[in-house]
Amino acid sequence: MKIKEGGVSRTVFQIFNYCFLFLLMLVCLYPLYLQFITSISHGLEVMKGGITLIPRNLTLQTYTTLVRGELFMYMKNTVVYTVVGTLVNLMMSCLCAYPLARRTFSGRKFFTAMVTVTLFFSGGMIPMYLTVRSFGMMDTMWALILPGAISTYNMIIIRTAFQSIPESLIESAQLDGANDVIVLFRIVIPLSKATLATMLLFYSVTHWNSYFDAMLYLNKKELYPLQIMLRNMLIGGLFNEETAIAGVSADSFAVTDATLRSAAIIVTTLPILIVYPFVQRYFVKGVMIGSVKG
Amino acid sequence: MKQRSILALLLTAMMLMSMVSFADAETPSTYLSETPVTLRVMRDENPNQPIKADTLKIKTIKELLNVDLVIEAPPKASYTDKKSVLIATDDMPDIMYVDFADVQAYARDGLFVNLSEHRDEMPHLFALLDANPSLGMATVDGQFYSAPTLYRTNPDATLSGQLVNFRTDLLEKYNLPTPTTWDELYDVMLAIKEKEPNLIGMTNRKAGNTTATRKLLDCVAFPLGSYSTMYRDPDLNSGWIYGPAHENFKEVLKYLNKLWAAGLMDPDYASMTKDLWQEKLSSGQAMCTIDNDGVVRNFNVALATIDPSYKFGVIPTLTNSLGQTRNTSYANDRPGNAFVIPASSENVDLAIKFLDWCYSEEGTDVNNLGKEGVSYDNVDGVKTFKEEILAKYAANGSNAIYDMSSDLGIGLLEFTPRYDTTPDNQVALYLQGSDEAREAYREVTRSILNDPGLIDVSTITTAPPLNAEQTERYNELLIAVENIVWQEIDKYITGQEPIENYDKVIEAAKAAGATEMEEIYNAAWDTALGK
Repeated sequence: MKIKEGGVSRTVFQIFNYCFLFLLMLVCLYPLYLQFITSISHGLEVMKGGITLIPRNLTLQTYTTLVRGELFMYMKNTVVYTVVGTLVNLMMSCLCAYPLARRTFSGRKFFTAMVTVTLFFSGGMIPMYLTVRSFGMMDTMWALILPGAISTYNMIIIRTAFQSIPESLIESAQLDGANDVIVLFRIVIPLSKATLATMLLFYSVTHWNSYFDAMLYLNKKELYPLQIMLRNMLIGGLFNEETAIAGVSADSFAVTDATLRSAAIIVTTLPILIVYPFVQRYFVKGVMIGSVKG
Repeated sequence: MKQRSILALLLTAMMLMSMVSFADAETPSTYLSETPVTLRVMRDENPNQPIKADTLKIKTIKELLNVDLVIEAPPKASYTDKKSVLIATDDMPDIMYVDFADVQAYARDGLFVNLSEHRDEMPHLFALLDANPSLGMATVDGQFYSAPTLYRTNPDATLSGQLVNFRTDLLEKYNLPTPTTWDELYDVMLAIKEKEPNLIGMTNRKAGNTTATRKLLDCVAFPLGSYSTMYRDPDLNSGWIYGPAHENFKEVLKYLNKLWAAGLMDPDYASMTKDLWQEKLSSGQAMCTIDNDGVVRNFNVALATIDPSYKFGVIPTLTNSLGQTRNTSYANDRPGNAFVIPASSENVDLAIKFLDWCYSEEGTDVNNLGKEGVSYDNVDGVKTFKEEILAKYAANGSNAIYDMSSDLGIGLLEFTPRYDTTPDNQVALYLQGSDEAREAYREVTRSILNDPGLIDVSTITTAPPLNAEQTERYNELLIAVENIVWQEIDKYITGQEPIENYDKVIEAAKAAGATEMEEIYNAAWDTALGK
């Protein structure tokens, strides 16, 4: 009986809830949608303004212009940095998290404390730059990967997940003759898949979005990642104050700063949007394991 | 066997001789170094014009000078960060593009080569610097530590500035005369507003880090009789003054208030953005804007899609209420954007020679036009881009100039210490399509070029070199004074405060340090001129 009464109010609640969430979804999606319709509209129409729901005077010229440039080179670099970087990140984080998670590791508290210090204090930009330079990593992709090989915060989440694995399980493996390497790769890592999938997403999104290190450590343009191009388009790309050339035909305005900017945003965001749903199911689970049991 | 060895010897001798003769032929007198040397230079990259590695310019420099030029081009958006780190770690390339403020901040620490000490090795640069005494302002303690970006004129040169752009079709439609004074401009806008009440009179935009109000005043204050910051007033022979702290600034505010009261100011003027401004102008909502005429002319294309007769045109410099006919044009020489040679460079001598070459006629040609016979022809000193090159890029429309400059490695947005606007001018002319349109375009640009009211903005605003103490004090005062002035301006434009009350703002600004700022500038100016 009680359930039935609850049923009516729940239905009402659900309807409102869906409406509310639907509106929320629109609010979240609209900016992206607006960029999309801007990127496929004619530059002149965008200049005149008023494109809000429907693209006007459809053209794909913006995308062909974008592709004609060095987009693929930047894209390739970003993919390489993201893939290699994330692998290095996961590897190093696991290798660091495992001993810190083992109760049998002497000096565990000391090392954990030392690692935690780096959460709050860092060397700063210039010492970091000098270090990277003295290791001869300038103008190589390692400058973007090795200095940040371990994110302390992520490593601590992994450590907490590793700690949640019963010590008895590890002991029995050791009784069967497994050493630490086997324990880590055959038992601990396979049991922490959800957490590691989350970390994979954290790390890869960070690599995908990072531009600052690349700007700092790379001088060769052929090594630049995508985000440097995007940022330059968004911030540096406002038309040059003092040089403007009089175009004469409407065609010459099919592609403008505004449409190019939108297209670049779509192109850089799309891969993450595509990957996200596949990793998302691990996402909440992975973070929860780390926090609840920590 | 013996014959063979003789033959071998002969062949070797021949080879050696041919190598020697080749070597002779390959060391032209233009070479800066016998062995090939790599020079690293750095400047920011504008996203419109990507800087490429194997351009015609770079190949030509290799051929002429035996220098492998490597241009490192961090994106414009991150250039300041990158530059700061490189300066802080003394890890700079052989030649670096900086702001003059960097030169002022670090030259005394010995970070950059003192070019004045190498005057004899840099004849081309110093000939140009000596020819224009106002460039003496780009020195630190009387010494040139940086080579400023300089301009070379050309037969197709045009002039641009923040000019009065007006919908000339409206004047024709309502049979109104072209205004010659600011008051006539008001009358004309009022007359049009009566017929078309939906039209905005004057609109403006935000630019860079300044507010929209500040940008508006940057554009209109000088033609109306004052200026928005420190300047030397050519009509008052005033020395350095801070515009908003002087009586004439009231004329500017009075005029803007008059427009506001009549409903002729853009109601959004204080919160305008660039996009909104663009939208209003290209959709035919506004009659007038005081801004870059080249940019505004581009909106004519969008306007023509609404009605072919709609059109913005430039109105010759107007006379203000003080009887002055004046406006500013963009500066040609740019001492604010300069090139330095870091003292830590391993190639200082070569960098000095190379930088000087960039200021020579030959260097200027290569940096702005590419290679003679390949990208341009030179007929009796008149340099013209090859037709096929112009035609190739014309298809890219409004990006033509950037695409062409990017591929050839030329122009102001490349590594070009001395620039020449030939590419911009010739592309613009070519894009007009027909000879008739070209002539019409020439007529427009020529009338601006010959407008006697236009003054090069650098002649009234190029700041004198301040010493460290003066810089610190000046910046401190500037913040205090601007805080007082700029929060009041809108009240006077919108009439919340009557103009008589502006005297109080003037007093407050002077009390906060406007007068001292003027003294600092005037003292530094006199020092720089050796008074």
